[in-house]
Amino acid sequence: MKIVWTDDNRIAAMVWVLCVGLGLLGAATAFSGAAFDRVWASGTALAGMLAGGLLASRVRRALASARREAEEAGSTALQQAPGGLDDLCGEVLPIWNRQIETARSQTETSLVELTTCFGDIHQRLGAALGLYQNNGSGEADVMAMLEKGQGDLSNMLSSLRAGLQAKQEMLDRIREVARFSDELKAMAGSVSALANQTQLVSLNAAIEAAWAGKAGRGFAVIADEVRKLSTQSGETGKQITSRVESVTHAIHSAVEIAERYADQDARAMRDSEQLIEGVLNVFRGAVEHLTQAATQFQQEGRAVQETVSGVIVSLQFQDRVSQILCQTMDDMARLEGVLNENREREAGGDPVPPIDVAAWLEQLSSTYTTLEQQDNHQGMQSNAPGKAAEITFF
Amino acid sequence: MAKTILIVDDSASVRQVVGMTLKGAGYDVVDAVDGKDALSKLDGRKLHLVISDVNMPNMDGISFVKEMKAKPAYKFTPVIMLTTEGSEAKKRDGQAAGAKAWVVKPFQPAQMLDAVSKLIMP
Repeated sequence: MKIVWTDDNRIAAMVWVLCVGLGLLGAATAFSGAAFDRVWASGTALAGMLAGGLLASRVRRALASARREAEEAGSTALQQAPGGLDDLCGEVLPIWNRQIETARSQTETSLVELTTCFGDIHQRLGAALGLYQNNGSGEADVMAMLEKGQGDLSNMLSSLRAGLQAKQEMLDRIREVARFSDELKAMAGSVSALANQTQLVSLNAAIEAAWAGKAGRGFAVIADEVRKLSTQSGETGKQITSRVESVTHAIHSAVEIAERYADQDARAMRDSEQLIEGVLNVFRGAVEHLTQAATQFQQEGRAVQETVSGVIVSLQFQDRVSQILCQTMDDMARLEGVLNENREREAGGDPVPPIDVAAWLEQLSSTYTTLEQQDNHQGMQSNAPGKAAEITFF
Repeated sequence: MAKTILIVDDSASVRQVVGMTLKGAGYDVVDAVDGKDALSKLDGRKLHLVISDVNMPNMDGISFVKEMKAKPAYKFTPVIMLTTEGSEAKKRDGQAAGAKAWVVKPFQPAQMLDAVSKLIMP
């Protein structure tokens, strides 16, 4: 379709360029906002707020400045332009171009800084989680060490119990010895009694030997010897009784002391068992608490790392925004070139050829690189990429 | 010894995101701002993989890949195209130039690392 380059058509073209330019800028800003909405939704509130705030404010300031200066420039150009809209376009389009480029470059600078920050956070988290994973067996090691300690202490207590058992057996033997010493004491008493009776018999024998006179003289000698022997036996019996009593007393004292120590040992054993169990329970509780805390830290760390990873992915929107803005700037520059050429023709008195709008639009469409640009061109709602696309392998 | 990957993209933020992803996985990274810059940085350097944008000033990604593949030292160097372009026609151009994979931005780091591990030279 061919159209004549009238003032009305020029105005229509201007409005179209303005709408396309500002519309794409608006879409880019909205796109960045949507990206950060996704970030906020994913949970990085602070990082998202900082990033969104910084970017949004920079972009808003730059765009507001662009619009303000464009309006001022347009007003000045309208007042000063001798040729009307062509002159205005010649002045305004380069200004718009520079403003858009300023907004684009500021956005890119901020995005690089943000990407660096988030990348650093991502790497630090990865290092911390890697450190935990490398030492992840530490938890199992501590538990194993605790179990081993518990086993060692149980063995030690078993050894102590065996020692106490041996002591108890020794005590039983000592009690048996005490019983034997009582028997020995009784036997020593019997020996003394026998000596006394023997002495009485020898005395009677001596009396009977005296009655026998000369014939009993030899028997009297024997009776006297028997009496001496019985006297010695009686003395020996007394000595045995005395010694046995001493031994019996000593043994009873030893038994009493051993029984007292046995009670103390048994109490000490029970106290030790309770103390060891208590200490092990405290350690076990501490290890379980640390393990839970470490596990929670690991889970939270992974979640934050995934969120940061999502933020980094979202920050890639800048490349698409930059391409859209650059393509718009290129088309504005193209229009500026055509207008300048037409002004030169008019100044030289040459006829100004009409602009083929359809061809212009077709050429514009051929320079698009993203689906959003195609959608915007056709007046459709732009479908910004919500998630990473699949990879095509050739 | 770490393997080396060349990143070619005119967007500083994309170079940074890709570089960070690859460095985090243990790769060495060399970057270039466009196809012309990338060609100047080849210089006989041993490259195990190239990740290139398509639309760049001075020299676009498709032209760069064609010129790089024309050099005997880089004939078999695998290339991943990383771009906002999603049209089938552009993909065919990339395949014809010698690319082995086509990734549309934005990319997920895990997906990129998976593609790199599949294609990178031993």
